[in-house]
Amino acid sequence: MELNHDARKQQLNASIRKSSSISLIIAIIILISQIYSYGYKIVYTIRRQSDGSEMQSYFDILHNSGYGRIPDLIVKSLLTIGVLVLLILLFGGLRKNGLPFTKKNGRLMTIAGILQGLQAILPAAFWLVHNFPYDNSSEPSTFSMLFSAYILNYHTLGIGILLIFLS
Amino acid sequence: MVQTTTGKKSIIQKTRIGSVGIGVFYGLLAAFNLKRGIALLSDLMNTEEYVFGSILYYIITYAILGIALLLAALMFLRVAKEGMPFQKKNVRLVRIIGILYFAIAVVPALIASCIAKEPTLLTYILSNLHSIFEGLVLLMIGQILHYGTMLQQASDETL
Repeated sequence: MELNHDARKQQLNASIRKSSSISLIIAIIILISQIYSYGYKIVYTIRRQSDGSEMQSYFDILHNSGYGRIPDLIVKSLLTIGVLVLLILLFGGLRKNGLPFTKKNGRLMTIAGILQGLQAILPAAFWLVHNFPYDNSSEPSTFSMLFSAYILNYHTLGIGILLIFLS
Repeated sequence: MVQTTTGKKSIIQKTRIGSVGIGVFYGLLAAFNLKRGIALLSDLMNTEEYVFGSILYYIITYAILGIALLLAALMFLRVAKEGMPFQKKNVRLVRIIGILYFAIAVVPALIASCIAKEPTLLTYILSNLHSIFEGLVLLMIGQILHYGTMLQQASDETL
């Protein structure tokens, strides 16, 4: 019975190592694509604002862009890259030893979960702050729009909570 | 030995309380998601042809996401009831949720581009790259839970 258990454990370790290798490669590819994508969006937004014939104030540039506002883009990019880097470290560790239940992995998951949760909540908070002063009682309330429009990212928040729970 | 038992009981108690909260939260998210989908459905009925594909895309995305959130709520409420996260049923549920996240990246785009005949399937998939990655993370979590389930079983058999 003990041999069976050891054999199963070895098998699972090997399986975790293999899946971690694949996940690590995909995570690195996605990290590179996200760095490129966010870099492009930020540069495009700044250049678009500088392209016009009139000089625009710094606040105009901050609040007026095609891909969203610059503070949103910067926060989203930092959080996305942060989560991806942490998950790369987690997958790297799992690839080496195949042991998921270590303190280091727990810490990595907690921080990744918090960043993932912030990735969902902060853009929604920015949107709320930006739109709240303009709440019009004849339209759906800002609060209900927060949950019914494309503002609060549910599946990102869900993954964040799951990572924190597991850690 | 008494300290270990007390420590274990305290951890199970905290897991139960945490799981109830998370389960209820996921249930609420699923309900809000459903509300979003129903609102869009009524828009779909009175819409111009050129945005039909986009609205259909979002409706299918919300439907799949709603199912994933409900399954997650179910899993956490079960953990709250039984106090044990490492069970085969939970491993299966996490894997199904992971596959649903993959589906979010591909299925709505495929259906919307076929029905609306919009040649933007690749654009939709590329804009949902994070769903593919989140699905992958969930499948890894399923593997980790599977490992934990095996350790739990071995521990129970020893006792």
